[in-house]
Amino acid sequence: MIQIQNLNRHFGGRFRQAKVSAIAGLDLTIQPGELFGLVGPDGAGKTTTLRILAGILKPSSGTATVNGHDVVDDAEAIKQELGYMPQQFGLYPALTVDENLNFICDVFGVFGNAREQRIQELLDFTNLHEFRGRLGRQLSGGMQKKLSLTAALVHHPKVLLLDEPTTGVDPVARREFWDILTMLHTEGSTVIVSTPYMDEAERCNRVGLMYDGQLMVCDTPNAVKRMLPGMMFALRADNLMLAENVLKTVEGIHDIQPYGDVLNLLVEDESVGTRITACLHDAGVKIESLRPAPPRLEEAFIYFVRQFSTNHVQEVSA
Amino acid sequence: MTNRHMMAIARKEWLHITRDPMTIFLLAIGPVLMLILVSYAMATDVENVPTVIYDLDQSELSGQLADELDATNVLDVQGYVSSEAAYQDKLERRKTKLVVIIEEGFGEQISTLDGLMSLETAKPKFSFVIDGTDPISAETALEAAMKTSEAFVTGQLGAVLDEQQAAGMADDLITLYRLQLESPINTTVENRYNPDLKAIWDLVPAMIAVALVLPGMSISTVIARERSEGTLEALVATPINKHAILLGKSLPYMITSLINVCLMYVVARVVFDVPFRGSLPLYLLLSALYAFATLSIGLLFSILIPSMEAALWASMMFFLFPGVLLSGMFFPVDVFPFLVKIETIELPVVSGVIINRGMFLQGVGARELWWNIVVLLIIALEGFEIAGRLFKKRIA
Amino acid sequence: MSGRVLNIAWKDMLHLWHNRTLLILVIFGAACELLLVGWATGAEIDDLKTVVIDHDQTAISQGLIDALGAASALTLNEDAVSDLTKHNTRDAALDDTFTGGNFIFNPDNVLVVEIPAGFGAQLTAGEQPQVTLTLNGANSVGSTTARRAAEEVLYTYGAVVLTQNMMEHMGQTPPSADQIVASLESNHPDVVVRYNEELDRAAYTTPSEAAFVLYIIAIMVAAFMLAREREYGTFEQLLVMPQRPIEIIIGKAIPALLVGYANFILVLVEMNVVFDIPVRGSLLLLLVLAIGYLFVELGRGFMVAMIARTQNQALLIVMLMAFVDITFAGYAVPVESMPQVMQALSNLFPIRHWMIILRGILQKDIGLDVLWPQLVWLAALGLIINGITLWFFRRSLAEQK
Repeated sequence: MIQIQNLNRHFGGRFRQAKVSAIAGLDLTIQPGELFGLVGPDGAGKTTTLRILAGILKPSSGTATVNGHDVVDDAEAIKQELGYMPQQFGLYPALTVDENLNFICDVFGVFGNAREQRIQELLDFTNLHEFRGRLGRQLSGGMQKKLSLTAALVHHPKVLLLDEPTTGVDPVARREFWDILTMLHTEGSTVIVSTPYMDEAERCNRVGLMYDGQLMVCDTPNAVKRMLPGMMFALRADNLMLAENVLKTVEGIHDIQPYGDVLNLLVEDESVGTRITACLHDAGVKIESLRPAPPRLEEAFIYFVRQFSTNHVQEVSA
Repeated sequence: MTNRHMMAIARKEWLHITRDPMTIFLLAIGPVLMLILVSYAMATDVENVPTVIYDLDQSELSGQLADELDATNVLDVQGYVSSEAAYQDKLERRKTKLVVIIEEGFGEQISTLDGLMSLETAKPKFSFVIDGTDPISAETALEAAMKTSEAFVTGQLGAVLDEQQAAGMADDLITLYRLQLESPINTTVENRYNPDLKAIWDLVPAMIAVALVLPGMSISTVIARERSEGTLEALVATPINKHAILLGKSLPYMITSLINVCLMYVVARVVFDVPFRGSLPLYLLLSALYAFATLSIGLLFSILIPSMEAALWASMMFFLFPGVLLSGMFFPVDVFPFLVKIETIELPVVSGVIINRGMFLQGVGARELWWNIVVLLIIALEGFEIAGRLFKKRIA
Repeated sequence: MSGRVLNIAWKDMLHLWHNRTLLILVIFGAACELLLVGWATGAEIDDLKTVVIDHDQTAISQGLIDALGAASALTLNEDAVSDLTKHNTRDAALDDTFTGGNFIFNPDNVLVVEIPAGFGAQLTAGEQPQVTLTLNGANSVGSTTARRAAEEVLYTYGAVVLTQNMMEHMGQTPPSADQIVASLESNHPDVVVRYNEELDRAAYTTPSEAAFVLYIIAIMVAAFMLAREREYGTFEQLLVMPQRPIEIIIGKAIPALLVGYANFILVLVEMNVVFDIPVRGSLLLLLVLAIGYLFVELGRGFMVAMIARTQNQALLIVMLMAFVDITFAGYAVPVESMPQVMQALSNLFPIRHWMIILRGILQKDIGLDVLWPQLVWLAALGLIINGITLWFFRRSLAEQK
């Protein structure tokens, strides 16, 4: 179980550097066996949070515990029970896949038959068999990510922390990756994964939306979507650009998102639909279709970020 | 547990070194190469200093003096010049380092008794001009020139006295003159440990210590490299004991250092024929201690200086400059100003040079070297201790 | 073209600016080194510990001991005398006295002077007593200096005692010791020391160091900057830029040139102010030639980076190279006393010529009329080195493209 209470972390502040707050008053509890997604834009504090949980970064204030071990006082105990996969390729580019895995096995004391078996198993799992002799630096981005995951799994960790494991990975490999994570989840591991992709967040059993060092929303994906006020419309029209400009002035529309040849509109309630039709008609936009659509996590996320940042700006200026 | 972690790191580090043939070549052969080259080129006694004669006397005796000077090992008379401007020019163009000026009347001065009488009050009629840019070779050349010329003059005047004695000069006077010619006290000089004062015996043991800075320099970038490659984050997230990381990283360098010591020992004995008078097991032990102290300092650098480039510079500045110049290889450490001496305490190479010279030439043991052993132990342990304390298993 | 060159130069300068530790090291490191080396090597070699064993025990032998003690180069170690009697053999006694010290608080003795029994009687009788000087061969510089000082004292003291004695014997008033010493000194031939009149060792080592500063900074900045790009893969970035190889090289050379040059000026000022080493020749000529020399060495720095695949390799290569260069520069041991082969070989090292130029201008006040052969060598070496480097660079560009 992971518990974070009023966690803060800032950087800089020395030598006239600006002090930057990476995490500001984070509270979070994660139960054993969860597949928890930490979502947020770049610079939201996801990596800092994971590093603190991994025991490799000291919080400026506040407490965090992993399986009951404090991240400051008991960092080494955490590291025994933890698999951590950093965002950057953390294995040695000058060593082969095999050598890297052997090194990790050495470190965690996995020897003899157990080692061979575990490596086999993990390589089956990640399809890296044919690359065992290849140097780390010669692997593609996706394979490097898989190797990092393999290395993090060698010692059957109770908790797995993955920092943007699929960034820069092709869609097929991404799907494979998530299949593995889901499998781990069903086997009972606690997995915390940070990601900028909303479709990945949908596969978690709980997501936390981070923004500016704080947790805006934290619930199951469906609950988060339900937190969206109003409803969604999907609009198809002949001139989406014009439509978007026109709709910006219409009252009751919270958010407009172009999505391919569709405009997703987050509106207050169903009654806004008629207003939309009228306005577009006046502007000479020909509507092909306008129908209610199920909300997705992405809209929810963008909505909350906008809400949060306007509140934030108001707070600051006030 | 710590042991297992240490071996894991050591094995990985070893793979890294061997994965890279150039590095292994540089580490394995570099020090030996350095020893051979530097010793061959630098271990030269001051010899054949180019010398010219400006002979205003043009007598038979002035010619003989030139021959005498040429006959020494130190000086090499390369000819005569005919004007002051000519030897000035030669000095400036480094064609000569020493000019012997023989004044008019030199031959006369040393071939008559009058000359001898006048010598009591007057200067001898020859003088030297020397290029002083390099004081050490200048002093040696000057000493040789002085000794040889004075011996020549004395010999000449002795012959004059012999003639006078034969001609019936008073014995009292003869004795008095003769006493003036002879050195009042004879000296026997014995060079202990290095009877022929061979420069190579002096240099090679010192160079063995100096050459071992290569592994020390190399290790000073190990942590910075993990940081710059982005592997440090994953490494500190593992439960490896931090001392195990440091020890594990030192181990392969330690092994290379010891291999180098053995190779250089053989080269010193076989190629350069330097005697070894101490106890070999003790020597290996102390070499290991010295190597460890050097690596400790390198490791400390590695932890203190996070960026790769700065670590490279710092180790270059530390190991190359003071490491070579203040090591005692060329300039005796004993006479450094006190503050510089204190500064040299942190340089393991100073103790390394003393131990090497002591064991090769003097055949001393642990009892005589206790101070240097203690210094090295303190550097090694303290350096490692501080490195361990500063090395946080965190990334910021 | 100049815009694109400056582009690259600017990037590297920014890099340096952002790495403060490096910046401080690069700017002040060399100046600190010079200070340390100048102080250490400029110290007079004196207070060399000497043990006198007096088997004579007369007023005359005591007088000799006092004279030895009065010499500034020597310090008599009286405690050691009693220690020596503890040993059975002479060898054991000598070993004991020559070892076991530490270099800081208690250096080893470097010289043992043994005054034989009957010394006083023999000396006054003009019978040339035999004094034995035993040197500690493990400290060759110290013991040689001590020997010279002791020999001088022996000669002077012997002459004074003998002359005074003879004069008394012959019923004349003996001259004072000072008079005798003065007349002995007048017997020595004149010596004129040129260029370094005081035979000051700091005046030898600090110009060496100054020459070396320019060398090592040029090589290191060039080698490490390019090696970094190669190691981190940003080299690829360089390749896709519109610059031509020669432009990349020049662009990368500019920061190294600036840094090296700034250091050189700092070191020159320091030498002048702290160590009183004047610039006797044309400063302008020196500063102009320094730029030319920098270009030659930068070429070598880049060459190192093209050979090395990682920064660590570059470091090891630079270190080895620096050792070879120190050797052939005449830094610590004059090239003239090396074997002939080595002397000939030394011409292939740019730093050798640079060292000659620097010393010549600093100390000898000579100009191009004398230094032109060095200039020709440097120009030729510069062309060859930079040509090879450019070829290397082109080749690696072609490989990657």
